Amino acid sequence: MSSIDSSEIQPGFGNPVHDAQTIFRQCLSAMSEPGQIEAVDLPLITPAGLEPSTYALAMALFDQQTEVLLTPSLLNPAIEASLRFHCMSPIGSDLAEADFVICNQDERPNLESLKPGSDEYPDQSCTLIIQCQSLQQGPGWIARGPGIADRRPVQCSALDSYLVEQRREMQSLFPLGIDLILCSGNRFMCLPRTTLLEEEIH
Amino acid sequence: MIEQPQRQQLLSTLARSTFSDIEQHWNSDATQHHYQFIRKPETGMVMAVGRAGGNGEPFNMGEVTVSRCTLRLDSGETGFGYVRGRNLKHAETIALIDAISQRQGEESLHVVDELLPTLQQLLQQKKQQKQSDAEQTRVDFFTMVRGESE
Repeated sequence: MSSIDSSEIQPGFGNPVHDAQTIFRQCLSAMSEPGQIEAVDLPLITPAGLEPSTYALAMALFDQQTEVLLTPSLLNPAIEASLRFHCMSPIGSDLAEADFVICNQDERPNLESLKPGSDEYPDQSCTLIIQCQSLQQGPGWIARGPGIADRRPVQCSALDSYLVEQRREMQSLFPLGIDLILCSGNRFMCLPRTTLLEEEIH
Repeated sequence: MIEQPQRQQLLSTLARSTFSDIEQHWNSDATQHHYQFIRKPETGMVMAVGRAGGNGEPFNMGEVTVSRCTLRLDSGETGFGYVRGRNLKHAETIALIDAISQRQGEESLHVVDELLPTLQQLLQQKKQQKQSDAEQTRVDFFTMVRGESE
């Protein structure tokens, strides 16, 4: 393992145990109520390129057993050093192996190229974290499924019809699949594999 | 600016010295330095690995309490502190001294040319003291030859 440049490491959580638990709880809420927006309320100094919400989720969820893949525009020394220092995560280069993939909206990998889990362990699937411009603007959809009483409108700049179509195609794989976390600034929302997205009816 | 082998020596010496010795011989006031924590002082455990007789197969000997801290001075140097035990202040002070030793100038020279040799000497003295204490209780076994009566 190559050494990391210590001057690139950014500070982690101010209160590691409590902050990580808070973020984990928020992530749990967001996953169980798809489309619901959660806001990270922590003063964080982030490595250049990562949104505060992405950085907080990374520090709460990643550990030495989760292989993390960063898409090319996020593969800078600051992000790599910070994730390796605080999460001890191996930074991988194989999309099909990664447990977490962090990407910007314009560099999103194909969902089919990610690890969907196995029949024995569908939980060992990849979670795709997309950093997007907005969770309030962009294509609008109606979300249905577990965790949503009836239907919930969601809007996100990264949710283009291509991505929605890919998610729809992967539904036949259930219980395998890819869970999405959409991050923008200090806010994030989750779209687990069970959530169905439908076109808005005007 | 400190070189790597010397920095390793410094960190090892600081980790083995008592906190009171460091406080006493370091001529700098920790509160006058401005820094931010990269990783706040925290205590955890590491698995100590031993080898029987120093050359046997490695085995897990037991867990050791270790405190660690990482901080960055406002001037940009990053320091790391690891120490056995639960003294968070000790870990923080080591990290601070490590960061300062990477600077140019008087404070760094004090650490490398005065603090380090002093602490090394103290450790050496303690080691010798321990050895001579142990020496006093040494028992020399020798084989008694049954006396053949003449």
